[in-house]
Amino acid sequence: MGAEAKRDDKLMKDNFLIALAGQQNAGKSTTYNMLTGASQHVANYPGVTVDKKVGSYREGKTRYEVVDLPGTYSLTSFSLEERVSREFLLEEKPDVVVNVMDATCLRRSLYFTFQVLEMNFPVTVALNMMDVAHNQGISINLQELSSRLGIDVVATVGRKGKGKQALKAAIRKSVNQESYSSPVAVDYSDLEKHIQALEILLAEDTSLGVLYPLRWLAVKLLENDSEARRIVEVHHSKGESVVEEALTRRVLFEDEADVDTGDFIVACRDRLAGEIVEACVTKEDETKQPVSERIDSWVLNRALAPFFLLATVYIIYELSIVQGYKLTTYTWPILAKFRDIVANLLPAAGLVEDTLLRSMGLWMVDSANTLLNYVPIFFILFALIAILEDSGYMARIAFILDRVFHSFGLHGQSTLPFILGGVFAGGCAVPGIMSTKGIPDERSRLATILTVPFMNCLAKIPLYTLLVNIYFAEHKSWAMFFISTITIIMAMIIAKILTTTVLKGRETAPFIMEMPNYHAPTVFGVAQRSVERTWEYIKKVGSIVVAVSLCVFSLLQFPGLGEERMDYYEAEMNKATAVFDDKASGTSYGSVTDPVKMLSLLNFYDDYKRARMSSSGKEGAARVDTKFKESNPEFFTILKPRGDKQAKIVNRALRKLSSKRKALRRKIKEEKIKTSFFGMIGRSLEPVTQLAGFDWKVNIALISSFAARESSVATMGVLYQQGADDNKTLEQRMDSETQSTGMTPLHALAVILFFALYPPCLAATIMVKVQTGSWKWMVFAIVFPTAVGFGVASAVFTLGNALGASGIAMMKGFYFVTLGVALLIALGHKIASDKVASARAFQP
Amino acid sequence: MFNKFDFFNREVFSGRRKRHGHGGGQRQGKSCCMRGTSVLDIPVGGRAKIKRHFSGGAVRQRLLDLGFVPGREVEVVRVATLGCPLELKVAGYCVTLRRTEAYEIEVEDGRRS
Repeated sequence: MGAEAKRDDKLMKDNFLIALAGQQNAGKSTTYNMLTGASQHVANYPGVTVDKKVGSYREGKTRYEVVDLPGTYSLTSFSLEERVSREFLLEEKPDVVVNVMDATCLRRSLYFTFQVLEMNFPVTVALNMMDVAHNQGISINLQELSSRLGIDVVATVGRKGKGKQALKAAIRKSVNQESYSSPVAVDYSDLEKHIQALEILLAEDTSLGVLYPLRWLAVKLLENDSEARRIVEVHHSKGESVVEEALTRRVLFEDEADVDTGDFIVACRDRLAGEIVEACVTKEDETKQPVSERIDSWVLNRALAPFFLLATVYIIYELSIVQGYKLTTYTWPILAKFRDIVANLLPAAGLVEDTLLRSMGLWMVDSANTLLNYVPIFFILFALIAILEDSGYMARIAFILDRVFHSFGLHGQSTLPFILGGVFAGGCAVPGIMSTKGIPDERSRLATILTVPFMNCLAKIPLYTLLVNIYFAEHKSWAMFFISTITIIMAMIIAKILTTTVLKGRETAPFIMEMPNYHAPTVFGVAQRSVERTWEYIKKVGSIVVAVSLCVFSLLQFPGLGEERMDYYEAEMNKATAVFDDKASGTSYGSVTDPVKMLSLLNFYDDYKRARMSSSGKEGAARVDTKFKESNPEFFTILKPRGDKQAKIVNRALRKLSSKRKALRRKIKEEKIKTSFFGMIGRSLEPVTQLAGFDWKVNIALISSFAARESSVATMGVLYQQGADDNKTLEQRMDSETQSTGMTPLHALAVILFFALYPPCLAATIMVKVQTGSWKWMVFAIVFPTAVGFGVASAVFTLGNALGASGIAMMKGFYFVTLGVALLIALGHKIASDKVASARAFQP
Repeated sequence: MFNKFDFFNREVFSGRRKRHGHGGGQRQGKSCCMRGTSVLDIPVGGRAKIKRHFSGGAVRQRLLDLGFVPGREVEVVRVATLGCPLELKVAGYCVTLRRTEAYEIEVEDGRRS
């Protein structure tokens, strides 16, 4: 009767909870996507899912809620993911657990299945990666497997969406089943009597049996699982005595069998798994080497591996940075057009001063454009990295580099974040920090998060190239090499410092990683991830950077110039217009002396010039001409007088007026920045920053770059304005100015070093907050690098001054010193680890 | 048995040195202590049966879950360029392990290759 009622209850229920569980890299996320139709990040890289994800699908009126649990090898309480998964299963009690299995390593996958079955859950097995198994010559007798396990087994190929309907049908069958056909149970042979004895003891408190499966608890108690002990102590009336009993039985058993209980339990599971595999799996041609191994015998060859790695890195660099940069010449006009459109929408330019709305609007568009300009590069870079991840080579890079990273307290899996962050000049710290999720070692993960921003992100490059072109023009290649490698060396040293000091108490994990088989990446998968990550980047531009650029703008704009200064400039401008009036009034175009008309003529002239500049070829120029001619024939005759003598006079006067106007506007801008809040901060910091040789202009540029790196060059462009009239490039301008102010390559080196170690940009610091989950770390990520960067810059500058060394000499000197320190650290780590090993060796 | 490109394989050399009885360096003491041979003593390409684990906690559990069950045969597939980590093959798939963890796995002596 009771069972009937329960059955009705189940039939009535229209919302079922399904848990996707299984081992790492078995394809849970793919199966999750297949079931729910969601597009969740999937990678051929162990440990992609750490948080559990929830989605759902419908079948008629019934709703199936699918929870994707983190991949775990078993269900102990040793690691965070296992605790998350286990607690979810125990607390939420899903209606069915879909155990996703990797068909290529069935035996090991079965350990997990046994554990879930021991917890008395209805289990449906999704035997994933059947295609890979087939390619490896493995054939699995599904019926035999199903009957041996006593549960449904569905073959799936998650990546191709095969087996979706069958899996859904199995889930439906499973949730509607009232009584569960008896599934397989592990026989623990000699331990069995202890388990049964404990089960009886546990059953004495009936409330416990409702909450938890008793046999499972008994096994866990014998395994000395801390969580199970806690459960029994809390929920069982005589909990402590039961736990004690379990411990005595454990010791008793170990004395009898001379084997660790935990090992024994796993061995029992292994034996059963072995029997099942024996019965169900046939592998043709045992001697045939799998493809992955054949590739690895070359790619991971001890002597050749570094060359393959370097080649890969070089290809990525060449394709994304070099070729991507070429692509930007095609995309830039689109962005320039966008700026023009916005410029036309905003109120027209004033005579000496633009309205606040116009200057602010253009400022925002400019800052967004500089960032959006990198989109093609990022798209290619992210696509290539997705290929690396999907193919399985990323895990191999981790294998090759783990020794190096480990010496500095990092982990082999720190490779991906560093590559995304821009090890070889070009990347972005935001996706870099995001990808630290997969690192199992908490200490290394935090160290990686804090050191990824040191990498050379794309936005740092413009300032580097600027400074290198001016101050290290003769040693350009060496300087670029210095910049691209010093950051990784410094990052390593700082990671070591962090892991031995502030991060010392954090949990670490060994580098136990399953080497994934090579998979051919699918076009869809790669494109999807690449679009996803690029979109992430664009979102950052859209939100944070634009918002922050607004703050920077106001800090640069206000409090603005005093009235008398403005009056002075206006008087200057009036003088210029008077000259123009004087010249023009005598001609037949005298009407342009009208102030309103004159302003529109000036703006017309500027617009025309800009349009001609951005047009390409003769045809383009002709098109611009006709367009402007149509819009205002009278003005156009002044711009292009041809035979008209009077128009020529006006034209000459107009040119003079226009250049005068530009000069005045520039002067106003410079004065504004000087007196702005930023200018004040920059100048008030000068006494301190003098130690590193920064003057207030550099200070402003560096401070504004905290919002977004690329603004540093833009700010410098405004600050170094003299000579802009003569169409000199920023390089030339800074060059001529530095000769008068005495800025030397040594100054530039200090700026470069500071900039390399400078705190992450605002978007990246927010990412630090997200990934570490604490504001404290975010503040640390801002303060610490600033201190380090300033310390290093000051030290190099002061020492260089004291020694009278040139910038390039100091650059080389600093490089070899840091390299030496890094090598010493690596050596120290090697000696220390050898010592530990030999000390252990003599223990009895 | 040995990879011909394996110029830096210290495992091979230290193994030989030990057999000749005038070994030096960090691993000298290992073969004479009660632990017997560890995975580190297997030459690249060699195999041995797992005897027991000396690691504890999460590491031991993870190794067991990955199939490093006592009695199982383990093969050293390769060593990374810098000598660590190692790639081991157990039950048909490959697992990477640092030397410190590999040292904690005792294997039966009398290795074959």
